Formats: sequence, structure tokens, C-alpha cells
Amino acid sequence: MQLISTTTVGAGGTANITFSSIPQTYTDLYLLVNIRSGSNNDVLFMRINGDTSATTSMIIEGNGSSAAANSSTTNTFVRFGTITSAASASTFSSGMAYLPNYTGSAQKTVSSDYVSENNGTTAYQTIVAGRFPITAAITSLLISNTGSSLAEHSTASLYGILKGSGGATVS
Amino acid sequence: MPAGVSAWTALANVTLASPTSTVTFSSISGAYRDLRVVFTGGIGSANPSFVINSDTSSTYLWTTLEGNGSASASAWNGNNYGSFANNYIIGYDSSGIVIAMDILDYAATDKHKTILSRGGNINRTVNAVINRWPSTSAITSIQFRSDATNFTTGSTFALYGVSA
Amino acid sequence: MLFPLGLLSQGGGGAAAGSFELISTASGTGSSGVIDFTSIPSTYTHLQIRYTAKNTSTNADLNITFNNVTSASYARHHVLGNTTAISSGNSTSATSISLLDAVAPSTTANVTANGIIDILDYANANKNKTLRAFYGVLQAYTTSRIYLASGFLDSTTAISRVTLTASGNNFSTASRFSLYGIKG
Repeated sequence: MQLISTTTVGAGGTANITFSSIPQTYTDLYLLVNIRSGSNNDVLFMRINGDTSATTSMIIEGNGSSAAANSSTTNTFVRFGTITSAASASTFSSGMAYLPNYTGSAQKTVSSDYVSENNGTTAYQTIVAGRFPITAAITSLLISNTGSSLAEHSTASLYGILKGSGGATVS
Repeated sequence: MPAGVSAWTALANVTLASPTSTVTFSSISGAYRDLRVVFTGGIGSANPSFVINSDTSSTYLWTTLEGNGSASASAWNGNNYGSFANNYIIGYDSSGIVIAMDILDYAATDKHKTILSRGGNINRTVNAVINRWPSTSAITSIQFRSDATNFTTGSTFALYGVSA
Repeated sequence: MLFPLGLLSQGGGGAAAGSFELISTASGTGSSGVIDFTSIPSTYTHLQIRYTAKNTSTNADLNITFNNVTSASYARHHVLGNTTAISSGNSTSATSISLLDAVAPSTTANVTANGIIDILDYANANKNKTLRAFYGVLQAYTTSRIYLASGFLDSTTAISRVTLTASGNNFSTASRFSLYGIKG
């Protein structure tokens, strides 16, 4: 597991965080984010290669009181989770996304989990399985939200994971 | 382990050149503390499973947290194999399945082996699953089985070790 | 053809310098209910704890504090599968991050609870400290659980100490907690 790049949002915030020119020398991508936005309860999401085609996602989400399942076949992004940032100052949501075989020729899948926090009843816990209808290798990854900008001090770290050279028995 | 040395080691990887019914990682070294398996691709049937150390006589147990896009559920079940993702709500698809499994203390001989996994089939379900193989033996092999229909061409299995 | 997976046959990404490094490992002794990671270096960006845990008696929760803060400054939220339904819960103004059912009780032999806990930006002085935990325990039908949980401490002080405490009694010798640093 090797760090590719880390981004920290500066003063004034930013509309999105983009990892571009992602090296094609790894097998999988592993993303860690620690995000806050200026809006409460808005959605954090991912896009790859700048593409805005409709994606497919399956979602489980709890909100501190109840839990539900959801899905989407029309979003132009894959959802990461719900940010509850306005309730507690200086509090950032935490998430992980795993994008396997990102240089391969199949459509790109992602498995993620994401939690927001605050010292209140409502906070979100989200598990997502998603797919981008993109067969090209992933060369860029965008993280953004549906509300106002991503806040100062938000961070995102992208790692590359290289596959092993051992094999397996298949039959 | 000395500082500055990676605790994450890539052990093995296979990309299926044709439809395949079983994939086995064998002779797994006990030199690590945890294992991670990542699967991507397609499963043509509803009950993909795994077997540890060729053990098909013990009763594996599992509990799920799952959603199918509109309904959520939790289930508990058992059989003489482990649930690769979820035997009940998962459907099948030729691609778009991603599953990450973590097996902590896989070589320990003082505990049963617990497998934490999450992922899903983007057309059918998202879930988190916990399995338990009721044996204190160290894990030396894991076989993934596709059930009635094969893992699809192009599917990949990757195995990693985490040191401690 | 079989491919043996011994240490010598490891592929790329192993044994060289990487971004995921072991800091410390601690095991249960049977006579203590506390695992205390102290003097955590600030040279990483994120922390990860990978653990297996079993209690010497029936207590099942794992209480986590940072920097020995024990005031009512913590919160915890979770989504849970309990074998029959999923639900979500919360705890606020607490004296620790209490991960429910995160330690296997002694009632079922050889069963441990297992989990992976991420603490991102643990040394960042601009952020309150939070964690994300994916864990579970597989026992009998009525007592098996799987969780995605989060925790919060109302403090921006860099974390130099993480204390994991069984809600009662002790960690058995089958318990193991490993702390990793992730570079960022």
C-alpha cells in the first residue's frame, strides 16, 4: 500500500477535490477522506474521469435513530455518504473507498463506508456498493458534495495497492 | 517489525481466463497476522461460498446487514461452508460485484476464525457480513466456490497479508 | 498447478517501505481489562487498530478514550445488523466511545469479536477527533452482531494515547490489538 497523493483544503474551502494523472502502476486504489462542508446533511460523492454518466449504487444508511436501504440508477456520481457538519464545529466525517482493478477494462466498481459524527442524536453511517459505467482506466477521481463547498482542513488521501505475484488454483 | 517497513504485503492474485467454478489459495504462510481477500467480477449464481482448509464438515455461521435497494434486513444462518457475501438477498450479475474480506488472527490457534466482509452486487444488494469458521486451526487454504454457475471470465481474486 | 504462498513468494508491495506500518501490538493477559497505546508518534496521518477481543466474563462492550480524556465529551453512532433487523443508535455526552458488543463474552468458547477501527487525521489540531469502526461478533442466533459505527471526542488535541477498556472484567489471552500508522 503506497501513498499516491494527499490533498488538504485551504482557506475558503473548495468545490471539489480532484486526484488527476493517477499513475497506472498499481492494481487497486484505496481512498481515505476526512471531510466537512458548509451545509448540513448534504451528500458526499465520487466521480471518475470527469464522467457524468448515470451510475448504479446500493446503499445502507443509518442516521442514529433508524436505518434504511436505498439505491440509485440515475445519479451522475456514486454516493459516499451524508455529511452532518453544521451541528458540531471542527468535526469532520470519515470515509473509506476501495476501487479494485482500476486500470482494467471492466466497468469500475467501488466499495465504501462512511460515517459522520457530531455530539447529537443524528449522524450517518453509510455502506455503499457502486459501479461507474466506465471501462477505461481510472486516471482521475473527483470528490465533491451536493451542498456548498468542502470546508477548509478537509483532507483526502489516495493510495495504490499492488497485486501479489503468487497465484491460485482454479478449476 | 522494524519501523519504516510496510505491514501490508501482496501475496497472490488471479484473473480468470475462463468461467471458473473454484479458486483456491493454498499453502498460505502463517507469517502474517491478518489476511485480506478482494474479489471483483461476476458470479452467475446466488450462493457463492468459501471453504477453509477443505473443511466441509464443520458448521460455518454468518450474520448479515443487508439492503436490496428498498428493503433492509439482517439474517443469521449456517451451513458446511461460509457465505461469500450473502446467500439470501444477493442475486447475480456478470460483473459489478465487489467484496472485501478481512480475516484477523487467521493463524492463531486459540480462537475460531472470524471473517468480516462488505461489498455487494450493484444490481441486487449491498451488505456487510460476519462469518465464523468454528476451528482453532490456522488457516492454510481458502477455496472460493461459485455454486451452480461459474465465476465469470475476467473476475479477480487478490490475497494480502497484514503483519503485526 | 498449486502456487505455494510462503513468505518467500510474496509479490509487490511487501517488506519495502510503504504507507501502512505497524506501530505496536498488545495482547490480553486475562488479568487486565485495559489496552493502552501511549506515546503514539505524530509522524503518521491516520491510525488503524485491528483487533480480536474476548472478555474473561460476560461484559461485551469496548470503551475507547483518547488522551486519557474521561469527561462527558464523547459521542457514538452506529448502524447494526442483529440477525433479525437492522437498526441505528446513538450515544451522546458520554465519558467514552462505547462500541457495543465489540468484545465477545466468555460464554462461547473460542469466539472473539473482531474489528477494524480507523482514526483519520489523528494529529490534526484543526479537527475534533473521530473514529470509524467496522466490527462484529458471531455467536448464537440472538447474540450475533455486525456494526458500522462512529465515535467522536469534542477535542482538537492531537491524539498521543488511545485507551481501549473492556466494559467490565478483563481481556482474555485470546485478545490482540494492533496499532498501525498510515502515511498521508
